[in-house]
Amino acid sequence: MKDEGGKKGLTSWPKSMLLLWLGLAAVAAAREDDGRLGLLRTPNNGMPAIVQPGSTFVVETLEKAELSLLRDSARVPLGVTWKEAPGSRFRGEVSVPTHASAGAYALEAKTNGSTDTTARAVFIVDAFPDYYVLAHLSDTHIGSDRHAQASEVIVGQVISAVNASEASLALVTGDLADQGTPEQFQKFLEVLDTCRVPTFVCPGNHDREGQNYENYFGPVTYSFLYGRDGYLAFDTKDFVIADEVGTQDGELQVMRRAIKPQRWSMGFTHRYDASMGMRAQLTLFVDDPLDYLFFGHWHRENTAEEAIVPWGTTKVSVVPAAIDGAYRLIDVTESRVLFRPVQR
Amino acid sequence: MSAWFTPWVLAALAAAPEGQIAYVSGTEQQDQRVCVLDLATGEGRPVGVGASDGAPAWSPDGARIAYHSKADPGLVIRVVNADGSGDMALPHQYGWNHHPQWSTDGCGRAVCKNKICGRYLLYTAEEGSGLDSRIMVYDTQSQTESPWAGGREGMMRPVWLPTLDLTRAKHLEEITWEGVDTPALMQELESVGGVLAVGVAQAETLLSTEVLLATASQAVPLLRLLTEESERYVEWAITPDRDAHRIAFESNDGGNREIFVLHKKGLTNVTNHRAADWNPVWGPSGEWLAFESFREGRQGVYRVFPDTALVLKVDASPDYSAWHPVWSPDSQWILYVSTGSGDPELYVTEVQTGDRRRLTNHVGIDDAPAWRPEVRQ
Repeated sequence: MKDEGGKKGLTSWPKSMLLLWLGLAAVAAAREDDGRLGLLRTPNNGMPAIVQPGSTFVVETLEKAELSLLRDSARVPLGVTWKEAPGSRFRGEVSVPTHASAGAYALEAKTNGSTDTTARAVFIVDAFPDYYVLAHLSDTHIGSDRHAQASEVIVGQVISAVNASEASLALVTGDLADQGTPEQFQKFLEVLDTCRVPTFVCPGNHDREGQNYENYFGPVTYSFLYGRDGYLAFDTKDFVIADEVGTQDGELQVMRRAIKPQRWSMGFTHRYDASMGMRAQLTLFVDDPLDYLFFGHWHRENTAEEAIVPWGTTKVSVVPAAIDGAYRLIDVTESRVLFRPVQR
Repeated sequence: MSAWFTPWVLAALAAAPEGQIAYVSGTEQQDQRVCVLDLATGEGRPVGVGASDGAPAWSPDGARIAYHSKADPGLVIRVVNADGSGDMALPHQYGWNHHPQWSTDGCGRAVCKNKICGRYLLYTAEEGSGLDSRIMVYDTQSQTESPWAGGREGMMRPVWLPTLDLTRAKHLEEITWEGVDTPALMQELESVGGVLAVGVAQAETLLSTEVLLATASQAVPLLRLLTEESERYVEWAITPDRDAHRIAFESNDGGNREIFVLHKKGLTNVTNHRAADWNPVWGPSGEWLAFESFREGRQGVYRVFPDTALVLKVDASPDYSAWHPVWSPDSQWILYVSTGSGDPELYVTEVQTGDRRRLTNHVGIDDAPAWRPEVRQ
């Protein structure tokens, strides 16, 4: 009855009522209801902001909003400078108060009558260490029924191991879900949110079901800084034709140049081989080669012969599948980045 | 009518891009479909099958469109008439076939100079892993597919060499090169034609790419044959001008990606900027090159007059991206894709006035445009 009445009434509703209805629809689509991103697009728990007190980070929303950090019962209101962004979105530069204490925060965005909250979207750190440990997971395949235990149980155990390690952040390089359905992404989020450290995700071939990945995590190409190091996530899409249509190639060039001055520049994606989109390869491995590239897809480790991108100097680490219980810890040091043996 | 409404104003108001544009439209990669936009009516209509359709390429007579599309598994080249009828998939030897181009002998001029104009479709074919790609040529008359360049692996993105003027001017047949019978190569070029393609080379221990000239049976490193260019630079996006008097391509020679032009007197860096410069596209008159550059922080569209390296902005901004420039057949307009309104949409800018117009308004992606060639009898 509700659908029928709503459809019938739409054409005769006054404009203000229509806007109200659209606003309610946006609330219904918020992260907290069915897992899809709503008012608040970035940062989120697959692409969080890691910041120090007194510094800034950038948010992207569908509307201008009041922003707060939430942790336990504490609420930290945030100052924002808004700017309109292409695609009817808003980009805000957010100042983190100097008194904010270190830890993981949910980010809340409030407009007139609607609220959107994303867990683990902001991590405040007192300092960025010169030496830290990175966890690399891939191929979680949430929803797969090809294993002795449920996929979320296996991946949950891997995340528990990461929590018990000295890792400061984690990369999850694609095939997050087995068939890329909303239900599987929602289940993946439930598992991901048991991770105590910031988690950065990128899509894999199993995640490519319509716009589901983008609806749950936002952009497929992005970069971020962790202290003196720069990280760049990208999507290898349909491989040999990945550099033909869309914005990724141009974005990669801009992001690659942006992190070039950093101590280490590290890329992460789901899959690499030399037949992938050539423009991305020229940008990332030829003209300004990344120092390191992390990926999965193979469900096995790389061999010694596969330890370098054939175009140049970019060193490679491939981690076996988390759905098989595997992950790898990586030491990021002043002089080099060391890949520890795969843990199971 | 008021006095200011002069014939000049009327003419200016009447200036509008004309013709038809093939492009790719979709909300996501899987549903991307080749469409044709009629500039007279502003209406677009789908002509592709809509399965991850790739960039469309018009036949030189403007009658057909070639594009690649998803197969299971891999990619197949398809050809469809401009009105959407007669869609057919080519039979292939390899699984992944992509980026089709047409042979263009003498086309773009008043009339085709010989019978093979638009007869061949050239594309890249591979198994889908590693660098095993090959140049394949499909003869639309005999309906047969054959590997070119003697079946050499590591070759991609072929474009037809419309004339042999440059190779003749450089006396290619007199150059000796290890393993290459240059007189026989020239003979084959004269009788059947040739292509330019990107070839993967092994420079010391690293991979590299270079500009190759290929016939059905041979492939030779064109730059190394004609200039002092080293194989250690990585070249891409090769495009000859209408008469093949000059060949533009991009290279990382000089530290970052620049656009170079090979001509009778040698090789010239025509962009020379610390930002990356990509994807040169010759205007129909062969005087200007459109290209993409990041000199304003994001991907933008520019044009350069190669004779003096004069660079002019077409559309570029720190706030949005613009890419994939294409010239109108009369050289008056440059068509491209821009995110100025959010999603990638098609825009045109009038070359002389800078007047910019948005052509599409669609939720999702409109990309990879190609202007239908003018058919002049």
